[in-house]
Amino acid sequence: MNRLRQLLTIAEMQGRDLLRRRGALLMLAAMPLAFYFALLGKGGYAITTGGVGMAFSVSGAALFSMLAAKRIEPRLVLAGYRPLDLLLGRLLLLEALGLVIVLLTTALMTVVSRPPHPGFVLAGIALTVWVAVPLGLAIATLIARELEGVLAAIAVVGVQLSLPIDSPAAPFLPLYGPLQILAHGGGIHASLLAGAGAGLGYGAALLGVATLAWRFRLRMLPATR
Amino acid sequence: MLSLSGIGKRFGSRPVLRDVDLSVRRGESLALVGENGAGKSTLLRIIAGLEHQDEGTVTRSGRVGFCPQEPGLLDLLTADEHLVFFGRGLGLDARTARAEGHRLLGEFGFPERMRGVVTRKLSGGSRQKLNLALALLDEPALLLLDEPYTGFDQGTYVCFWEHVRSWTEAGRGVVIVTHFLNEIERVDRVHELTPCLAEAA
Repeated sequence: MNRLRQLLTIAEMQGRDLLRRRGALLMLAAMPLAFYFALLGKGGYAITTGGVGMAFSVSGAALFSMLAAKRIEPRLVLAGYRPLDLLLGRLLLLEALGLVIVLLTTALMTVVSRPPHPGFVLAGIALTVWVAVPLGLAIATLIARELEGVLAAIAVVGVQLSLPIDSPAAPFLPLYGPLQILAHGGGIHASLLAGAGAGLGYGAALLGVATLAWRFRLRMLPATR
Repeated sequence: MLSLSGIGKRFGSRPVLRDVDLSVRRGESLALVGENGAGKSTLLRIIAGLEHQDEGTVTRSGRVGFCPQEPGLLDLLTADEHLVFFGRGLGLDARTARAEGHRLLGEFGFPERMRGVVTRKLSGGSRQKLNLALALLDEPALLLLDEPYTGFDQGTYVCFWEHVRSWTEAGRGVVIVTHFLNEIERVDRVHELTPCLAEAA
């Protein structure tokens, strides 16, 4: 019970911190919309590009939520929090935030673009959040410096954006899966099964990487008692 | 309560600490002094368990309260929210954490009206007072304080050293990193660290 309360406290405090960053929240909402509306006349491509914009936003939010708390977290562990719970609490918050983004963005894209398979647009956006949150967390735990972390996120998502979805190199990047589903939702030929498998797999793998790196970084060294 | 034996630490090829031995008993205060770069903060982090020593052993008992030199706070949380955040980690409910935190903040002269202000808008001294109060929440047995009075006004600074005495009288061990050698008569013992210059050269 105490552990659950601690998890909820972590999510609550991260949420309070994030919600007070009004400028950042505005950018978080505006970026996918800017990507989407930039290609509005291009049918399904507007939807996949909007998905990439969302990946930028969500992974950026995850990255900065980790980096903003970098100095306080060793103290929180000393105060009794488990390192893994600090990560899980943040994941809880970001996935909840992602759910709101999924619903709002899907509603907007469905109304504006009238895609042939709106259910797959919803699934693709949900899968984007599933991959982008652990992507931001993994980058923040592995790199832990603001500039280098942001550049790494831009590199991964930017290269994905520049590759056609049927490029042989595309499956080697983490957003391949969500983009396949989004493309199908927007009426572009894409590989659904491979996309779903890759998206779920990349999300889980990135979460695993983030967890391992996090546990290593926040490992406490118990003195002999 | 705390015993260090043969502690050594290097950052890459640069030695920072070499063969450090010290101990602190219950109810005892110890000042860690030394030049910049002598490894005082690193040693405190090793004692807290936040840094791994390359050589030697650390033996300690009881919970540690750690006050780092730079307040590790979330810029957009208030003082009250920090108290609840840390308190929940210690197993305190929100009301108890706030009540105890307010008492501690009051002792250091933290302005009551600033409890609901995000820490980014607090003065350096007020941030440091919150930093110290968070380290003291739920009465840790061993206090590790890294220049905890940075930014304090003169009155709070004097008051701080009186608190050190009251903490030791209550049976706690206190280790303080300090540069102010004129205050060392206020602690029970002093341990001077010297930079590992010869080996580094």
